[in-house]
Amino acid sequence: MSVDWSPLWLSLRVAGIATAVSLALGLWLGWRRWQMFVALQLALPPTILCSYFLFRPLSPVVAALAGIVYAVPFLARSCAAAFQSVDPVYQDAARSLGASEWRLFLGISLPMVYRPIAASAAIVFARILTEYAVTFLLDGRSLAAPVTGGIVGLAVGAIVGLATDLPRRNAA
Amino acid sequence: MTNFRLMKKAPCIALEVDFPVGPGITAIYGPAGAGKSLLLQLAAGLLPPDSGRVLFDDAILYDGKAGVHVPACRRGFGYLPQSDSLFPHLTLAENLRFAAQRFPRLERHRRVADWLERCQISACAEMYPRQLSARQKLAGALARMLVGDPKLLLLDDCGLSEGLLQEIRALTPVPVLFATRDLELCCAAASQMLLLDSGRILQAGAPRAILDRPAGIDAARLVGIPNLFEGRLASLDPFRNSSLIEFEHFSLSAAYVPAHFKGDRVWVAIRAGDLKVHASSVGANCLSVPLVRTSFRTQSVRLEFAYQIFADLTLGEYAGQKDNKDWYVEFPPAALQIL
Repeated sequence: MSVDWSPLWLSLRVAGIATAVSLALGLWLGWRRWQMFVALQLALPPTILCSYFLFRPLSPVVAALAGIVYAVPFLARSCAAAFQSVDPVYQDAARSLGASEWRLFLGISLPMVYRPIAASAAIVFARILTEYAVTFLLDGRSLAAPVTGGIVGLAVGAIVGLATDLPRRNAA
Repeated sequence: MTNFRLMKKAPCIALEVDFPVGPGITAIYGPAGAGKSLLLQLAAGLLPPDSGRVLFDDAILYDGKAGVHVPACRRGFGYLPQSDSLFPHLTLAENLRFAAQRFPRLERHRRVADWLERCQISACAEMYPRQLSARQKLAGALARMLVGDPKLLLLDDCGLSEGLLQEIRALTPVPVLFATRDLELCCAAASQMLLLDSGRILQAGAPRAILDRPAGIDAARLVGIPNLFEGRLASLDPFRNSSLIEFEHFSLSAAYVPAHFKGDRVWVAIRAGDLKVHASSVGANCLSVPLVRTSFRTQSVRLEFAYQIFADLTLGEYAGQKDNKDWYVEFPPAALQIL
């Protein structure tokens, strides 16, 4: 029996793009501490979120957009929490040493907190991959069956999430 | 000219200062919560003041009215925070390289090696901050601050010793502004001193001058003069250059007090070391007071008498007097300071 793997690859691609874009947006919103603008999004059920996209034909792009809308609030909140956990003395020191905001972000703040952020990105990836409600409501046919997605997502989320989060706890 | 005029309302303190910074070391002395750290952060440009004006070498770095605010990263000041500030995810050498980023590659590596050497921490260049001792961390933070050629050093109360300050002086000629709660260190290392209390400068000047002539009751308290008495001028005699001051429990004669009327209330301060202690009365300005408590210091013994009179004796003096039956405290008129 030949198996058609294309829906899985499509799912992985959509989830990967959505995670990457929402991670970038989440980092920016979290750094700027604008997570309150997206907090409302968390309170909305996925069905309402889908209605943003209901009147467009489903393509991988729309599916990814739905995933982004769904994932950005989570990432923005966890990035903001991660950045706030850094002692402000390091920012003060970096600024007084002549570092621009961009270098401060890339060279100091992000490397100090990448572990919890990577863990939440992994969880978000798994959630988008296995997001059944949104894709089914939009058009369920071309994306992977939720069971397959669920297994892959669980594995990815568990491995990456644990791998990035655990060593930090051990070290602390 | 370099001058800082800063006003800032923070949750627990209202800071309002205006002071020039000359070449050499300027100490900011004040108790905990006086606003020393806040002042340094404002000077470094890490926090925006509410109003004021910052001049550095005649360049305006901040002006509240004109809306000028040069951010910390372009001021070129070295700032050393109160707690450990070496980036924990970078090695010591990487920490220094981060601070020397604006130099071209070769120059950068030469400078980093050079400053590690000068601060005597070359051996731990490849170590992470968590592997370093407290002394090495401080030396590393100093090296990281100095590697970028700062134009002014702002040092918060971070465990600097007199030796380290002298080393900094030897390494760089730029002006230094440092906050401390150690009066000895101010006296030993600083050429100028600011007395800061509750966000205001009580007195500024050379440390010796401030210690010898505190400007007011708060300044006297801050520089550790324990004998402060409020009294009334009972008589004033300009011709014999004398006056009599009556306190609650005793009265003392002092030199003529200019610019006061008879009956004025004045504060009188006298340092604990200037009081003389005797076993019997020796004449004028000598009071018989009961001894309340004796406490031993590293170099002296402090005797606490009734009426909140404190006298410091050297260990030798105390050894000669410790079996006194009665205690007489002499107030030398020349040492009495009318505030």
